Amino acid sequence: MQNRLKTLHFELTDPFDNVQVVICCKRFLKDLGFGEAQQYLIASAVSELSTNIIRYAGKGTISIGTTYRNGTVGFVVAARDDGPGIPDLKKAMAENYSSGKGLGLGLPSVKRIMDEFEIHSTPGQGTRVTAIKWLE
Amino acid sequence: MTNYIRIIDTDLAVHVLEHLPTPVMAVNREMELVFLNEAGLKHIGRSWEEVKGKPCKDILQSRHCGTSECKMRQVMDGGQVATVRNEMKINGRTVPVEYTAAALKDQDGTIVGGVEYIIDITERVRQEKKLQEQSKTIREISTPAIKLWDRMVILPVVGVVDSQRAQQMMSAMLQKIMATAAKVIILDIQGVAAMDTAVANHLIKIAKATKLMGCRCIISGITPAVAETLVQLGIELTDIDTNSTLQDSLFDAFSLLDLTVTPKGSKQ
Amino acid sequence: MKQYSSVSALGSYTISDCLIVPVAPEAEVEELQRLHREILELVAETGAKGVLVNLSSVNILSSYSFTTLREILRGVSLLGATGVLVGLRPGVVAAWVDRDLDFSEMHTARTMEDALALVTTRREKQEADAKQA
Repeated sequence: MQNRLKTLHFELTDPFDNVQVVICCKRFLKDLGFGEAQQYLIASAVSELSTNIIRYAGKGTISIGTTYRNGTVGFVVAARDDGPGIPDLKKAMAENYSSGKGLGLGLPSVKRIMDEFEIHSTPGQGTRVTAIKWLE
Repeated sequence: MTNYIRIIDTDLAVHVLEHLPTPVMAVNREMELVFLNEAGLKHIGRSWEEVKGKPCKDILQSRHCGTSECKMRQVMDGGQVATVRNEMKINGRTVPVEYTAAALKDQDGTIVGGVEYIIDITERVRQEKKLQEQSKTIREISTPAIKLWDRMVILPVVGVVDSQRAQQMMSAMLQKIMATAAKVIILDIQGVAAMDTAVANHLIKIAKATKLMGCRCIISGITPAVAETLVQLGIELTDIDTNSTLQDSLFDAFSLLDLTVTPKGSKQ
Repeated sequence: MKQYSSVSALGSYTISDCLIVPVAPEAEVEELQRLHREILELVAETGAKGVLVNLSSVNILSSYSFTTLREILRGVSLLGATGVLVGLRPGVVAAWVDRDLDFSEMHTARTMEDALALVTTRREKQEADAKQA
C-alpha cells in the first residue's frame, strides 16, 4: 500500500488549481490512514499554502508525499514559489500578522496544525515551505 | 566538454529534416533564411527559391516576428533554448503555434545562426479553452442560492472555495436576498472540502454582507472537524449564528420568521 | 392605520413614531450631511423613536457616504432612538464589504415593515429593561 502513495506534484497558476490540490490531498491522507477530522485539518493547512502561492506569487508548486521516521509514517507537504518572498519572516510567523488582505493568520496556523514546519524565504527569489504531520 | 563523435550521413540527415512533418527553419546571424523544410514551405505556400535568403520575419509573419519577443533573436544573443507560444498565418488563417528555438554554433562554439521548429497547437488550445469553459460552468452551477421558504434562502456550499467562486456566491446570494426580500439565509458549509483562512474570510464577508442586506445569516454544517480547524486557524465567528446540522439551522430560521414546525394532528 | 403627522422639506415623514427618510438615487455626501442635521433636529423635535433611512433606490454609496450614514445612526442613538438602514442594494453592500468597513452596531433591514418591527422590538425591550431597573 505504501508503494502506491507516490509523491504527487501540482503546478499552480490559477485559483482553480487549488481544487485539485485539496481533493487529491484529502484522498491521499485517507489512503495514508488519517481520520476524517485530521484529513480536513491537514487539507486545510495545505490549502492555506497553495492559496498563498496563488495569491502572492501568482504561480508555484505543491508536492505531497510520505516520509518515515522510527517506524512512523508521516505526511509531508512541500510548497515552493519563485515569487516576491516574505520581507520579514519573523513578523509573518507572528500571530495576527497580515501582509495585506485576508486574516493574516495563514502561516502560523499551518505551523500549529502540522507537527514539523520549516520555511525559507528570500526577498525577490521566492519561498519554500516544508511541513510534516505524523500519523499517530 | 563532451564531444559527440558520430559519423553522419549528411544526405540522410537532410532527407530526415526535409520530411519531418512539422516546419523546421534555420537562419544566419542576419536572420535570413538558410533552411526551411518541406512542411515549412507547404505552410507558407511558397517555394524554396522564392524565400531563400529572405529575412525570416517577412516570410513567417508571426506575432513575435521583428519584436523583442522573438526567441530566435534571444537564443542568438546567448539566451537559453526556449519553447514559447506564438501565432502565425498559415494559408491565410491565424493559427496558434508553439516553437522551440536554439542557437546554431560552429566548431569553435561561435553562434552562427539559429534553428527552430514549429508545432501547430490548434487542437491543444481548443482543448484548453474547452476545459476553461467547463470549469467556469462547474463554478456557476455549483453556487445556487435557493429560496427554501417565504423569506428564507439557502446557499449550499460544496467543494473548494476560491476567491472567484466566493465572489459568485456573494453576488448570487445578494441578488437572491434582494429578489425574495429574504429575512434569513442559511449558509450550509458541510460539503466544503477544506477551511483555510481565505475560505473563512470569504464566509465572514458573506455573513457581513447578509447583515447589511437586512437579513440574518446562519452558518450550518460546522462539523467537529470544521470547528477544530477554525480553532486551529484562530478564527472567531463572532456575531455569526452557527449550527452543527442543517436541521438545527432550519429550526432557528423558522423561529426567526416566527414560524414553528409541529407534527400533523398535534395540539398547538 | 398609518398616519403622516409631519412632512419635511426633504420628503421625510413619520409613521407610528418612526421618521422615514427617503434618500434620492443620486445622493452625494453633501446631501447626506444636510440630511444628517435635519434628521437629528426632527428626532429631537418630534420625539421619534426610530429613524428609517430608505436606501433602496441608491445604487452607489462612497465610503464617505458610509461614514456619514454611520454618524447619522450614532447621533440618532444618542438621542435615544433607533436608526435603521433599509433596503441596501447588492452593489452597495458588495462594495462596502470589500472595503473592510466597520458595520458593528449598525441596524439594517430589508423592508420598511421589518425596520418598523425592529424599532418596536427594541423599544419594548428598552421599556421592559427600564421597568426592571
